[in-house]
Amino acid sequence: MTAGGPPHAEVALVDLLDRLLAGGVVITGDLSLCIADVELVRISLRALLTSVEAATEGILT
Amino acid sequence: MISEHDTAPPTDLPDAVYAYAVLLLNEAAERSARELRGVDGLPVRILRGTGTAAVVSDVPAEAFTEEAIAQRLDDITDLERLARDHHQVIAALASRTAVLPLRLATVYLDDDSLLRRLHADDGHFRATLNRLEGHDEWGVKIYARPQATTPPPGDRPRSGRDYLRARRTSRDGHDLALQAAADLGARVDRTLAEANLVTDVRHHRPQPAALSAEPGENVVNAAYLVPREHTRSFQDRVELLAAGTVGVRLEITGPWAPYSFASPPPEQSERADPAIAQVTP
Repeated sequence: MTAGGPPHAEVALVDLLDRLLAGGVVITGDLSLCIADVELVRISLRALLTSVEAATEGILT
Repeated sequence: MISEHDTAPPTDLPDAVYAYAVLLLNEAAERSARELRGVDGLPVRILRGTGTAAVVSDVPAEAFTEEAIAQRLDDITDLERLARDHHQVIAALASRTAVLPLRLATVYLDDDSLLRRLHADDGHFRATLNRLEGHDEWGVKIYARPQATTPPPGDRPRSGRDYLRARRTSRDGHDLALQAAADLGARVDRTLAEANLVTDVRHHRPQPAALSAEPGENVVNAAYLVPREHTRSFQDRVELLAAGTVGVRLEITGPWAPYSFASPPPEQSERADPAIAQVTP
């Protein structure tokens, strides 16, 4: 990933999302009650893929 | 002593409580939490329960409604900012004490609501924290890297048959590399378990090539729970196995807070999602 921010030892976003979206304890919150974790992963992967496609188009055009 | 409200930002908006992690009550962790900045750069505080404590930020409720969260997750810039802010808090604490990371964007209406949840799950949280104590998570990703079998540019195939043969060789090379990567993954799992260098393992889904800056195809995306005293042996053993394997590339990431081990293995969990995390048989 071409993540912005400090270059020193920054973890790759894709590795981070593996853990943040599929890992961690799922306890029921009050406000995010209806966001099923599967839905969360789907939404986020779409965001990632869209951004990658956009970047690729930028290179090609 | 820390007042629960001494770092709350002055604001007219109704606050909600964003929770990052659960930990055992611990003065050193409390001190370091006070110096951290969390989501949207907001201060971090400790909310004490009876035996465990939550690491939280007071956030404007309107920024974390279901709709607002969905919008953040759907925008790569916002998603990355949220993910890194969340991670920064957990990573800082994990270097000092055992932490139980919570899923991204776990938000409560107020302290009482979160305290009730802490209290209800107290036994489970303590048991998991005790299990994670003294461990780090390490990632091992294995990529298939077929040996270059295509002729250099300019050296064009002389006939259609040459072309087909070259393609078949290349495809066979690809299949071999995939197999070599999967075999190496199984060998790493087996070796680490036999040598008692790891406490647990999870297999995440391989990363799509489009999301990875690495050359080759990701075949194995594993996470290991490693006792800290075995860190060096774990790395040496994994690198030794990789060095003896042709056609693959292996990458170790970490140390991570134990994100992948915060929940029980999927088959023991009621909310199992086998498409996301698989446990090694």
